[in-house]
Amino acid sequence: MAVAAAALIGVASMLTVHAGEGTAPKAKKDKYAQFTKKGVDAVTLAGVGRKHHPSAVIFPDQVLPLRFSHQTHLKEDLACTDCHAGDTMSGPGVTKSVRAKDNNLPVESTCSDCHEIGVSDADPPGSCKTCHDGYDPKLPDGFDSEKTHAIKDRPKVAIDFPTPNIKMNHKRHLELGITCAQCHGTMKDVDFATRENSLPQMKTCVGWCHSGAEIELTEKGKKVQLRPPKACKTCHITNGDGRIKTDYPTGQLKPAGHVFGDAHDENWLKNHKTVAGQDDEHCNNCHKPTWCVDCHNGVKKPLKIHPNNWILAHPVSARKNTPDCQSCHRTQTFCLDCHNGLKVGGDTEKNPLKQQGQLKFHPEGWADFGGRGPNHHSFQAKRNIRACTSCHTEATCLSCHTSSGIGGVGVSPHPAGFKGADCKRLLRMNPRVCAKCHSPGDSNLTSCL
Amino acid sequence: MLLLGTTTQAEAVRFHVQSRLVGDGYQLITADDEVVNRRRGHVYLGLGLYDLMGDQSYNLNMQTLLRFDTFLGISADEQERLYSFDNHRFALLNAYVEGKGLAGFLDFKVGRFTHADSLDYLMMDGVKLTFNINPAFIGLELLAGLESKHDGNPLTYNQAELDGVRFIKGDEATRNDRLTVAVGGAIKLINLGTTRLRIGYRRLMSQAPTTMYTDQEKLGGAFYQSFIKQLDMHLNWSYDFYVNDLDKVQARIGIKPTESFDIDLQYIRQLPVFDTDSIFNIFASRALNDVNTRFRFHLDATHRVYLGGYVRLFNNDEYSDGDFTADTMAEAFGVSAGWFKRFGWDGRAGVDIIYEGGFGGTRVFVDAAGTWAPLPRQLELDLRLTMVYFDEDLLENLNAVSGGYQLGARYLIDDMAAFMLVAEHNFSRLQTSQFRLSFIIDFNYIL
Repeated sequence: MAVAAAALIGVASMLTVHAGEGTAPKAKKDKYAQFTKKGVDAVTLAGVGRKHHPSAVIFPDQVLPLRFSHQTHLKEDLACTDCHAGDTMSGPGVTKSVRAKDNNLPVESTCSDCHEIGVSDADPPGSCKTCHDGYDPKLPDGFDSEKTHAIKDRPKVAIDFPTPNIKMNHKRHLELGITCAQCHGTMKDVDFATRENSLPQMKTCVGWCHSGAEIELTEKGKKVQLRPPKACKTCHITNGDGRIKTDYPTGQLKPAGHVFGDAHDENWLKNHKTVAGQDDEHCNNCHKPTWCVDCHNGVKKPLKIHPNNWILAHPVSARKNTPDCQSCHRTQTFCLDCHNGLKVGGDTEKNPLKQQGQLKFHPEGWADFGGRGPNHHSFQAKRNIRACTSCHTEATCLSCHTSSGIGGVGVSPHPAGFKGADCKRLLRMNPRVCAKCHSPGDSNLTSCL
Repeated sequence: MLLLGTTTQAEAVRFHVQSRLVGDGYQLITADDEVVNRRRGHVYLGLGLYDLMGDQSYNLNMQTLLRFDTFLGISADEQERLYSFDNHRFALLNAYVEGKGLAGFLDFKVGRFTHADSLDYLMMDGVKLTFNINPAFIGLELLAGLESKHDGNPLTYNQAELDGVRFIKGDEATRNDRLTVAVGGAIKLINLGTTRLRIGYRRLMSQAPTTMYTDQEKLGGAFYQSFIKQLDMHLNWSYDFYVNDLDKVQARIGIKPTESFDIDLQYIRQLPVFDTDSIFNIFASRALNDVNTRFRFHLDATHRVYLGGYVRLFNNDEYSDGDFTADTMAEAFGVSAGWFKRFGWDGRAGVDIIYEGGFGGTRVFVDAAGTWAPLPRQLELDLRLTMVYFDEDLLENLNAVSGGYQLGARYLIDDMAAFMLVAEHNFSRLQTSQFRLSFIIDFNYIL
């Protein structure tokens, strides 16, 4: 929820974007809205729900004030490389492209091989508005269709095709016999290609090839067994420390859950343990080790876990152990400091927590000998002993539960049937703890041996 | 030429300098109903060397992280009240060299690092080796070293240290500075796409006159399976040999029937387990069991609501005498609901409402928060309003309604430096005014 909760997390939390989502600069959105289907707007307009479209952080919003139908062109038996490769490209074309920054879109001269530009009754049509939606300039006398840039009345909106924030080598993929459709999907039913309907998602890459497994590919006409690298940095841009770069002008890159259910959404706080427990090195692909230590061995107060006035209101949560205090705190090295330092359970006249009419912190019947009542500490200790150990050291328990031979009262905490396998196991693994209550010659101890 | 070659390689190494100052001031109430002001300062310093092989593989790196904690502006009187706190603390949190993908199959870490898996956290001074045997889809992990212990080393602060024993100042008998050896291993499936499996073992042993005693011994694992796009499952578990029982189970199923709706179902089992040197293990023989769920509705890509709930069962031994028969189980429960919406690039807002009851007491929590970025990607401002009612079920006077507000700001000085500030003010019957101020100045530069 609120980013206020993340306020103390660090530089990486400057902006929070839901997994798989992206955002667009506001000024552009309004200006170009009539021409483009992009980003959040496209998802929103598509209807109810969260569509896992390609990330707008990886593929920044494009401005494409054009009309084009892949469906129509593919029906003419054109191949992808007829338009996206060759000498007339603005970039090297997909067969030569080794970088994601290459622009592999066709230019006007590619189109003019078939479309007689400026001729409205041509077949296929050649008027400007055929491709440039709403653009119908007055053509000069003697217009040369090869020299459209001579038209002074330019389209009002320019094409903006930003570089993706990813690594991509089209040339290598094509050399290995990977078809365009394997990554981009079949375009036979697609009219205008957008980020949402034509660019691949991460699950396409890791699902087909980059899983770390060996797969069969084709190179120079021969079948080859290859293991496409699965390291994140194969595709993702890295920082200077080798970790994935996650902060971009287009937003913060977060896993969408394509790998091991690691979606960093609002459930992540309570669920991340299940993913980190599988392999903490997976987290290290993006996070520095300090990220985990910040909370789990740290001094920060993550406000999503510990909201306003937590110190005052935490006892109810601690009794229920929601959230699990042990995830970040050890009772004997963390809780005890404050509770003892402030004498939380102090039997003082002014203690606002003391019981009515008495100076005791714990309720009546808490430590009765003999018969027990509902308030007896033994029930509470069994239900959640960490509530006890947040204030007490072992010394408190030992004062009564130590055998009478070494100064205690001899109240046995052991359950019925303890003498036997349980007793022997504990003694075998660590007899030091037994010696805290039992003297060396204690018959209860020797009978266990 | 040799010198030139060497110089070129050295320039390829990346240096990382991290510095962070955390300031935190807040107020506590003592048993004498007096207010104590705490002002704490923490300074982190991290140094890293990356890509030591100079080939942009980042296969060999080194990292260190230090932290210094201290009280700021504390008077002698306040020092007396806080007698049990460590006043100054200097800790080495990380200092290790790591290798990745060496010879195509070996990962390692050597030095001081924190390891996390389904068993527990382990901060240790030692080595971790991972052999990735790709053709067999198997990874082997080996751990060996010494547990980083506060009592044993003045440069250590380890919240993950085994719980249950505590050094009491002035009582040397409670000092737990014995060397604790940690060994462990794991076998895991790798490169299997939608399946993950890990089974690990860990044993911590400490010095004794003639042998080593076991401080912790666990076997556990993790399993993940994505069945289809709409269904995945996680299972983490841990078995503790000392208490001879499962001490941790977390089983989770995620279901996404549609793009606009998903369900998270979870079962949790927790049995408190302490250092075997602690007698608390004798008293902690009953596990709690918890089932919880959350339903999320994605109204659109920027607009979500959720409903959640849990039931948590606490157990105790049977007891009956002539006058009283104890319940063997106590239930805690809770329901929650929330709403979140993002407003384009520069704003978001959310509301959380939680009700909890049963064992432990009652808690009603209402929280509304909003963020606005007057300078997107550079300056964000937060406002948070919170109301909480709590009533602890054992202490009849531990109840109050607390209201509070929080104001926050984050300013990105540049891509690698930021400043954050949070001010919090709360009101309640028990503390008529409680103020908190926190700030972080964070620098992360890669040279």
